[in-house]
Amino acid sequence: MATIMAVDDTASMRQMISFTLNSVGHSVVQACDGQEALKLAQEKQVDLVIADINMPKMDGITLVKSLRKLSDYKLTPILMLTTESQSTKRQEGKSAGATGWIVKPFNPDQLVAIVKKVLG
Amino acid sequence: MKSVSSSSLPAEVRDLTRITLHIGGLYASPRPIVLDTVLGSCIAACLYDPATKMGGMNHFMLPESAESNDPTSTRYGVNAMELLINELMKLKARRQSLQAKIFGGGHVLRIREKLDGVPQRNIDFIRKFLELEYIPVVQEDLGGYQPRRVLFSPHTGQVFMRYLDRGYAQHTADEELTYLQNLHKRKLDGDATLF
Repeated sequence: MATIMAVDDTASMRQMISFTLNSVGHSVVQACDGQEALKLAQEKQVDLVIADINMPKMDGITLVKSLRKLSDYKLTPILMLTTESQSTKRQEGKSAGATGWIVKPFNPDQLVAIVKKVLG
Repeated sequence: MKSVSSSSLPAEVRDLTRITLHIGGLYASPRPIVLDTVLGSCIAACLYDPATKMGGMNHFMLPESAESNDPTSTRYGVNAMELLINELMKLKARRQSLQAKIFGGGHVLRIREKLDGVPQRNIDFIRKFLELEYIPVVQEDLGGYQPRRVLFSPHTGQVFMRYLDRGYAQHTADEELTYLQNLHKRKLDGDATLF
């Protein structure tokens, strides 16, 4: 089973993501903003990053760009999980190097299915 | 449908532009306006940042069926709160100085008979959410058996609240029941795409 990092400034969101992914056997590392995520990602290689967009200190788009610059994270799947649904924002995420885009509120079964898909 | 006449508004907000919020709605602003909502078992959270003098309000409820140990059952509430916090952050409010005033969760009429537990679930949710986010609750009026009308001025953080009579209770409960029934039919969860 995979190690997945959940990056969100809302504690309740981190809990929901962890609960959903733990229930199918994945282990989840939590970070509360992009800055913390970038630090944790370099300390321990994770198999997948699920990140929010709007966060203090470092937003999700900047996090994706920063991770893609690291050799260990060039190919790691990164899913954006956000309240933003506009196509311009999605395009921004795609250009930054995100693997996919999920609009909140997330359906737990759908999240599990997508995670399975991107982990291959 | 009954409406509350503007002559009965407090003097402080009588001349301000009034924006009415219904279930599922939210509004954030630094402008001198007044946000107006009527609550039965729903919750309205008013967030205010005294540092930048701006605030916002939402109006939401959680669906009734829930396993209490599954945190994802509260996702519509989490989403309503997150949307409001994001709106405020986009207006440059400071998340760390946000304060909350929370209202609603009344056991009104048919909600009370048919969906016992909904109001309390809403109350438990908002208290827990704010505690987890370190957002202090500076004022609250929750529970009880009457609907409430809440007026919130986002530029001052001031709230004017009063209880409404039985006529409103019936109307409010009907509106909430319809919303709950639609929640089950409609797909409220967001979509997902892989690039």
